[in-house]
Amino acid sequence: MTSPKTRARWCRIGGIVLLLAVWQCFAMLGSTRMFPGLDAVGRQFVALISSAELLDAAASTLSKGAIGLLIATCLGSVVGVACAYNRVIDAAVHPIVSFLYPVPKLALYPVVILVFGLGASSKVVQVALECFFPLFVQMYAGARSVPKNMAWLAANNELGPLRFATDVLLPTMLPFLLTGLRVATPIMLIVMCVTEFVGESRGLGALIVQYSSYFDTASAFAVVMFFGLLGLAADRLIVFARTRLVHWERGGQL
Amino acid sequence: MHKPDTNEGTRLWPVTLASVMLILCAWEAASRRAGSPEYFLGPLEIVGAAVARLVHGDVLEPAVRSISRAFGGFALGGALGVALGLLSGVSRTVRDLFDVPQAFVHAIPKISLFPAVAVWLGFTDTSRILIIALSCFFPAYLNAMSGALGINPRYLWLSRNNEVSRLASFFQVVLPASLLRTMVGLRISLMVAFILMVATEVVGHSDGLGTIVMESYQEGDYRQMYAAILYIALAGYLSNLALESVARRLCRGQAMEFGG
Repeated sequence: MTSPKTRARWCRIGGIVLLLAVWQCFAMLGSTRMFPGLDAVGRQFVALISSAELLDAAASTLSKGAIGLLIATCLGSVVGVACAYNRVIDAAVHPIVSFLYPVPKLALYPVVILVFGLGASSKVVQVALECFFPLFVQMYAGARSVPKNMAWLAANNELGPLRFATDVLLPTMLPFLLTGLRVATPIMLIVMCVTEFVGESRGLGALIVQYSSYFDTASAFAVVMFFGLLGLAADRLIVFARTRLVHWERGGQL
Repeated sequence: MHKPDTNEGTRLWPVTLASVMLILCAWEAASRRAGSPEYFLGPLEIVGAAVARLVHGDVLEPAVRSISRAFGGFALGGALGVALGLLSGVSRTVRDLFDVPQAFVHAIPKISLFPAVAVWLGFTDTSRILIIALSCFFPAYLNAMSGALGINPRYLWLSRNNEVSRLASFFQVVLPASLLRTMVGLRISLMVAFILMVATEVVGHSDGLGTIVMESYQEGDYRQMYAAILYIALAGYLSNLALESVARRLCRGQAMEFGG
């Protein structure tokens, strides 16, 4: 009898092997040029990493994405807190945000290009536009979830608004912020990818389009893999930050 | 999304109306101001252009094409995601099997696969629906799984004690008990489907609403561009509304709380 733990480990390894095997089978059955095998993708991956082309592109993509995400976070927190604490602002802003939330903001990209040009700023704005909504929702929920006792305690101790923000609001909202970032980061990657497909650019998305247009699918898949690794790293980073920063809330769901 | 209490909402509706009107009026005024750029159209002009396209009849066909792609991908990815997610929630083996592949593929922005997939399948409906379905799979899968994992174990014990077969307990206990969370996942999937619908139509030569937006941007036909954007927005909003009402009906009696 194997213990449940080793069984789980075998299942995990089995999952990986299954995925890779299915891929390799498809690659061998089809023509290798269009559907590259794992060996080809791996070779291209190593080549791209060592030529620093991939890292340059990633730096360009991630820096723009991060700025957009930062803007979205700031706006989302300010508007979220304002809506949570002021009913009039809530009534004025919240229905509009609810209306726009399910609308694909990506359709507005041509308008954003017209206003901000084809350069980096239009990409940053588009990321901010798309990421604002999930962050707003989380920050609003966070600001609303300050425990009544805490609010009373703060009021009784005559905490100023600044101390209230740093000592009560911030710790309560931190887990919500991290959840919001976890939702928004993949959206950021999607938006960066699409905006780099469309405009002339030098990020990861542009690299994928470039290789695909040469029918060099192995390189394109290597870049896609790198995208996946970046996403995975960002996700793990947020989870790690959560266990460190919000250590008092063990086992909380993200 | 959090809805304010009904009495609070009804009391403050003039504020909502006023803010919407204020934004629309400011927008209209700014667009009419002399010296505003050519691409800056007011809301009246946009609605006029949208209605003109509708009367003309040349918007319906691309709209139907776009929406059928979005829904095709959503149905495929969502259904598979829910089925596998519930299965993973119930079975430890399935969960462990999918754990690592899921984490890795989930992290890839699926749209980045589109140019490479288009090399095999061309810029066709198949490749678009494939990408949309792949993107829709993950929110549905993850939420259905966490819904199935969060079931009160007493329900499962009860069904086991009553010697309900595994299949019957799956449909009669697991499915309804995790429905709420599953619907949350499906709602995210639907939003993703519309984002990807636009994204896959913008890239490469295509037809559909996203293509109209991009082409009329390149040709400088801004009225048509805004009209298409308006139709995309409406399609996204209305389909979300439809799914929400279905979810409300299905989850009747359960506390509805749609997170983001």
